[in-house]
Amino acid sequence: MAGSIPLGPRRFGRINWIGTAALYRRETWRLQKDYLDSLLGPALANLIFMLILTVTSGGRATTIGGLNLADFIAPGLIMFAAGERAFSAACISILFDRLEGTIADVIMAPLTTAERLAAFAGASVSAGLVSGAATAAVLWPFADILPAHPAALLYFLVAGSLLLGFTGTIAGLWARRWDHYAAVLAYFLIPFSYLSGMFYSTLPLPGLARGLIAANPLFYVIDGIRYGMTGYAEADVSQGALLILGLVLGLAGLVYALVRRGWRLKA
Amino acid sequence: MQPLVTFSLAPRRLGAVNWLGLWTLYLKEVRRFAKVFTQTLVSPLVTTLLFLAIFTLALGRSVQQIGGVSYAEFLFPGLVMMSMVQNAFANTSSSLVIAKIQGNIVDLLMPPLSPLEVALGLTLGGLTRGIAVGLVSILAVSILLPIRVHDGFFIAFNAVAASLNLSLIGVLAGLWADKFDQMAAVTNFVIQPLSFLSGAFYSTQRLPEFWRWIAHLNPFFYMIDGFRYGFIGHADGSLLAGVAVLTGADVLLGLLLWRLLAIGYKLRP
Repeated sequence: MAGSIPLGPRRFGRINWIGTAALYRRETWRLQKDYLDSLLGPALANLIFMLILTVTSGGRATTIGGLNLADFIAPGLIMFAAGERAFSAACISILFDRLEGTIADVIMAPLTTAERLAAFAGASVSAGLVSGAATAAVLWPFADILPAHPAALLYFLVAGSLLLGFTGTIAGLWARRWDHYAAVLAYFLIPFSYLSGMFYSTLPLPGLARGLIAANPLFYVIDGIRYGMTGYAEADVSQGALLILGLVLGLAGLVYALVRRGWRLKA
Repeated sequence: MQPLVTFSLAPRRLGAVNWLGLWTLYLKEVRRFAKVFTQTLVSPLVTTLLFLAIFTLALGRSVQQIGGVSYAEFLFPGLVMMSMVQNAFANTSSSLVIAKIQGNIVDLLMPPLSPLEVALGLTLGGLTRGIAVGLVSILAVSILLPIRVHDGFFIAFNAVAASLNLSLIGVLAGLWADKFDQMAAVTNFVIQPLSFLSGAFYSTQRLPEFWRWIAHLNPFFYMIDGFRYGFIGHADGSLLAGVAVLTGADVLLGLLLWRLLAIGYKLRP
């Protein structure tokens, strides 16, 4: 008989591919729907930044580390766009679900913790890459966007999106109100990003300031992206790559442990 | 036996102005932001200091003198003014949109307040937030930079007139918007671009003539230019034009708001 409906429990193999893909799609699309604010807003803000810096430096050939001002700053803006979106998407998604009670859709679905983690990670990378690409597109007329080392660029964009995406998931689990999300953004993410050597070379800074920036993981991400785009780096790129890899794995482990225990997810 | 308390059953009488009601509405608007001061006062301050740090670090060496002062001294009045007007706008616009979405807009419509009193109460709340952000920011910046006062009148006039301007625009935008998304779009695509491209970061005198002309059409330019003149004694445009533009805009926007509230635009069916 054609079209019989099996009444037994749904069977899937070792990995619930459909469920993981469904969670990934949900996490990706729910915020991209709002593309006017989440994509065009940041892209426009970055375009304005670039305009202001270009006009202020007065068209005089301002160079930082042998690069044009625009070429030096564009990688930082692209990273900030990617990282901020990965962070916000992850944080808003989980906080919204917890506040509205729809978190049950995530908890009750027949997914293992690792599958949930994979879906979250995939969504963060998508959000980061799409936002980074949008900013790269608007900066095209100003800076040399064509990458010198495409593999390094892709590695650091993906790793940076994962780093901030997992941070966003942890912040979303920790927060109890929208105020907390706003506070993490204003007092943690934005200062860490802006003070990471996004807009200036760290080399002429005094020792203490350089030490502080060297302790900021986002410095290595931005430095790596700048290396990928222009070939110029201020720190050892392979060491930076390893450091970021270690941090991403560490945060992934933390998110895994928290979601598995149901920290602030299950009453 | 005489009753201990006598009630008058006649309606409460108000004079020409419901002072108590106006004061209550104003106080509600102020307490709304004062309660979450970390978001409404400290967070803008952090942003201002960050911008000051990164722009000075990025451009301090290539732009050494601008308008006769160091780049940081040129920059800070513009940053403070940007922060003031953005916060004045945020205060009134968010107050109205949230009230409309959550339904507590009736608290604004039912009390015996005239349209003028509603307009005043809301607008003065936003003005207070703008001025508070400005005071906190200048205080913090004065620790880092030597701040001179060249002309106190222009500092005070521009601070009040500009905050009032954006406070009024915030009420108007809040009346118009039905959703948070629309409000975010106004902030992202109108208020922020206009305030960032206002000459806060660079002297408009270095722009090509056509773009300088465009920049001088931006009302935010006059807010920042006059405010900065009050500190450093140098203005890019005409101070008189600034006073005229800001006063004219405040009066026109105020009249428009009064009229819209009187006809109940988007508030009463």
